[in-house]
Amino acid sequence: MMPANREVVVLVADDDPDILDLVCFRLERGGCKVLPAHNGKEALEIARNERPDVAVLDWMMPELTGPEVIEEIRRDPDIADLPVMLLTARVQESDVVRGFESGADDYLTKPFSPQELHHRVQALAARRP
Amino acid sequence: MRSFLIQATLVMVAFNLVLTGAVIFNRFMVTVARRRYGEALARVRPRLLGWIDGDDVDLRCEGLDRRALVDLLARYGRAMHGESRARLSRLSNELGVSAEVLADLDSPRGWRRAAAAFRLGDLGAEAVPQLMAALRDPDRRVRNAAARSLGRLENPDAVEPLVVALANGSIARAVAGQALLDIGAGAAKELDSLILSREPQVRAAAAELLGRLAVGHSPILVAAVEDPNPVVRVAVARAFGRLGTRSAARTLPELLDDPVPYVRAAAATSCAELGLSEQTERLLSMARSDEHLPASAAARALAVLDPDLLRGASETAGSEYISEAVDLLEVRQ
Repeated sequence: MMPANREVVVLVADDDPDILDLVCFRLERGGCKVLPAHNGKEALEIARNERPDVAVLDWMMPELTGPEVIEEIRRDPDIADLPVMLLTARVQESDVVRGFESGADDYLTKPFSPQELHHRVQALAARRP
Repeated sequence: MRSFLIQATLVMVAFNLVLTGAVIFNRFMVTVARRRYGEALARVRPRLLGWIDGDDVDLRCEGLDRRALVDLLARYGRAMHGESRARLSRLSNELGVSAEVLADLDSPRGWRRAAAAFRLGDLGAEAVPQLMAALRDPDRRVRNAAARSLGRLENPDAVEPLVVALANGSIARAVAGQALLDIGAGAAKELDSLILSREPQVRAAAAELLGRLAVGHSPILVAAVEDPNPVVRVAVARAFGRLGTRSAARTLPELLDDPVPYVRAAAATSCAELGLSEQTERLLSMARSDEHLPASAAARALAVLDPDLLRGASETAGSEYISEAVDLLEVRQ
């Protein structure tokens, strides 16, 4: 388990600057260190180089989609245990199933509550080995 | 003649220069306006984000900052729900932003009315009656935007006009469905009562949407298997397939004996969705019939419920529909 007093480092990837603003602002206010990314490729690079505690990924992103990033993360033994949340407007049951099949640990649909997202991120970080 | 040509060339060169100058000037002005608007966004954004997060910030502003604020309120409102969005809605109403956007619903330009109808939902504006009226706008873009915003406002009063608009084809099916899903469980009671409407198209739309909402047991929907209109019975059969409740599983087989083939076909498909394996013998007999729609649907349902039975049937007393379903089964595997 992660020590309770350590700053949680969160990778947030979304190609929509408004969503990125909202998520980053709330998480920073909540005491997290945020690493923003604007596409899937950038998110994967940050995940590999910075080793965040949690990742929050959009589904539809340029370069690599959220599920593709997760599959790459799960294939890389160095970061395979990174807890990942998909934050997406895709609400169909089949999408949720596909999201979890790709290896997501949590799934939150847009429109979302920034407070709820913050609590979910904290819960994912707390479960981290 | 020569001097005329020289003069004409000079006029054209001068005209080109003026035109090029005008384009460059226009580009310059657009760039300046964009930069200024970007600066306004940068000024307003952190204050608004702080306000959303609970800070006590005075957000009153004018001019370009006000335009940026209206824009950001709608954009953030679109991305959020819950307490933060409720705060945003209160702010929009307090600052008069909602009233400002509401006034655009009376614009003579369709795109402006559509943009306003769209934004009102994102802003969480107190505009349900106006948006309900906009469902009758002559411009389809406005009607669809209004339907979508009524969903975002989650007001059950909007259910009936949405279903009526869906039934008469004035709004897109997907937009109406999503709006009712956004209204959520509150919509179910209204939909229940609309299954008793005098208009068969409204009853069918209500049944279909109840299935999409998947809210559980609905005695009125169960009773609608006896609706005199086959379009309604088809919608009921499809809704049962999506609902997956015990009462749906108990009632659906009645529709396998419906006098209208289209209804029997919908019931067969829903049997597969509900996993009603006790209906396989009836479906097999339907698949062996020569009525295209029910036979084809029954064979495909069997492919889901009992592929071995289907394969066995194709080898003994099969039909072209059974063979086709077996072929599809093999392709999928």
